[in-house]
Amino acid sequence: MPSVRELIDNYQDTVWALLGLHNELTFDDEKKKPLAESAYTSRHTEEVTLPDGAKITPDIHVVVPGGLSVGDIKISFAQDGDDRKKADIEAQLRKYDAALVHLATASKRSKDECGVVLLVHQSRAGSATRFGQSTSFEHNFAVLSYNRTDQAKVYVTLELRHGVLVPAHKHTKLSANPIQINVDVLFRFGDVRFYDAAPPDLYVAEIFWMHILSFLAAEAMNPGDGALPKTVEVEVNKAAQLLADGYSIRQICRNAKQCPSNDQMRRVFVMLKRMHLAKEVSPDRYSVTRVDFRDVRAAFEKRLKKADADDARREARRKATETRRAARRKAREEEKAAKRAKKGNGRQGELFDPS
Amino acid sequence: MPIDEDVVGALAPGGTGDELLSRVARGPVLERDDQIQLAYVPFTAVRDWKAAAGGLRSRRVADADHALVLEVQSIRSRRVAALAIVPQPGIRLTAIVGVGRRSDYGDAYEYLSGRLHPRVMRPYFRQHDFATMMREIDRHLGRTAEIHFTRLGHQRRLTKEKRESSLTWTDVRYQDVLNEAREKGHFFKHVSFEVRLKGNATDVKGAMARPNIMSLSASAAVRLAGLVNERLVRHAAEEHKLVTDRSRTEALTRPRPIVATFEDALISKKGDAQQVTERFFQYKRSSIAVIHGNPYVHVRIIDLDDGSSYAVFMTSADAMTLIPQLRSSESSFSRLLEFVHDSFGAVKFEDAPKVYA
Repeated sequence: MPSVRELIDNYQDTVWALLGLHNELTFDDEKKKPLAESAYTSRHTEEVTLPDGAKITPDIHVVVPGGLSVGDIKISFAQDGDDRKKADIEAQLRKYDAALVHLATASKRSKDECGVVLLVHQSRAGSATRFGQSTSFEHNFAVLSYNRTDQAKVYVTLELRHGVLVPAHKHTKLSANPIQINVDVLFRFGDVRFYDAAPPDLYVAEIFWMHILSFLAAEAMNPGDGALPKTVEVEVNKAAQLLADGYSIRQICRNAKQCPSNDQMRRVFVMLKRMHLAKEVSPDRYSVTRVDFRDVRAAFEKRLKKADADDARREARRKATETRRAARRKAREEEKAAKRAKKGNGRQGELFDPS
Repeated sequence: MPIDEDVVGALAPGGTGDELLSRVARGPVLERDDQIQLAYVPFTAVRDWKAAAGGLRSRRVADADHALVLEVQSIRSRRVAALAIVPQPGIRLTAIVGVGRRSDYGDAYEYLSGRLHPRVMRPYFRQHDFATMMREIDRHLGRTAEIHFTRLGHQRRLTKEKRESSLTWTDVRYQDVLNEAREKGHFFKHVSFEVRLKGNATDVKGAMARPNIMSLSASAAVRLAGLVNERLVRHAAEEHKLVTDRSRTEALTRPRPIVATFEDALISKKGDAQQVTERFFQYKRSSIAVIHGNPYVHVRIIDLDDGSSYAVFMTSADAMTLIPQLRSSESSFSRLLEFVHDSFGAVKFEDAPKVYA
């Protein structure tokens, strides 16, 4: 089981991969600069309702000149042998494949210009390629892998592993060689940290603490106070929305699904409560106590560890008490039973003494 | 006469403010035996200043032509110093101009700018500004003059070793000192200079200090006040322009990062990124979250002075991306840039699109 730190790093790499792919598909190779934002539409993680009423929410959804790509990112694509997961992924991709008929008409792209994309981490590229080879779709299907490499610059490497990518000139480009994208250029899309998949709670808590809470505290500060207020009341849904607007893929696709969700945000507040940093005012409002930690992650981890230990201790105590009580109860019952038996025996003796 | 002993009339208790006001209205003060100290502090709003100054041990003396003059008591000498606040036409910038005896003025300025932080941004000279200013003075004085640095307060870049600062007395041509500083990775906090004419000492002397402060001896003021004055205002305005309007006005607004670039790669081997990350824990009055520290840098910072916050990424060995968040005040961003400059030796700060286009 990977540690939370690894989960956060992996999650971030995945976001970079999505932005990297977005950057590549919306990059004009002839003019050597990004396409004008009016020249393409991107609807990553936006819920799309099809004419038959069915709904899909593809991670990747972009319409560029000569290409319409719809697909998903699977950080950990199914291992060989995990047929159930593979079947799930296939079913999902088939939905996209079917939806392309409608989407193509809506955006006036020919069938050849449309494709389903599957983006997986490099470590699962083999399984994903074999999956691609053994599956066929109505439209083009491309399996891409991503990986982060750290040299003098940090790069996201995208590699075409199988199938056909649209638009055609991007297919030619990626078939020739994997492409490397310096993540520095991805900052033009904003401070994008979240996409559709739920990020680790600790990560959401950190971004909230660093940027949303400090902002709300600053807003609540009166001129002349000299210091940020110690407690700030925060509405769960508002916090979730500020995070989704400011730190998710919404930075490039306005209608992207809200991430983090309100439910996850509530979990994060419960987490802060466990760390003794928040109190529940109502199910939708928390009063957060600001502490000026020098090292926020270290402080969070320490408090979580302590909360876990406290919980474990409480649980152990509860169990011990329960066992003790049960034992006492049992002893009492036994005693009663014994008494009853004795009394009963006596009575019995009185009533039915055969003698 | 030692510079510090020159007493400017405007500093005598009583009547000081009025006198300064009339002088400010006339332009730079150029009187014999005056020592002139100029510092410009850009403001976002004069109203803020007035509100804040209301709580200070200061007295508003006069308010004419939008110039506001304040008297501030020196903490150390108990003498009263006067400061004038002069709006600059055309730009959203108001300068505080102070004229006074060096020690008193320094006191008053430090006190005020400390009290007004973070509402007032404090521009500072970066290392290359010291060079630019000296070159301009050099050009202005003509070929026969030679500028020597006589006293240096400097500190070393902080990536490898602990913070080191030192004070050196010297008598070397300023160009040589600048070159040497560059080789050693030193940064000036303040320098004192003297002008030599054909090898002979003159009483054209002055000093330059980090927080946009210049002081000039009386004879230096006669020849240089105009140049220095203009240069200080221009610098304050440029600094202000770099960091202003960086807040994301709403969450959906994309941030406007500034990229700091370095002369050499800061990260070349394992552990370097860790070192860069750890440096941030020495950033004063802040709260830090290290999201990723190895092999690249991803740090998030809250400025506890006013709740401004930033993300810092180092995904290139020789560049650092500083991303302002929902709130980013001028004073806070300027303070962060100063920290990055001092800690890692950043040579340039630019708009991200310029660097990453």
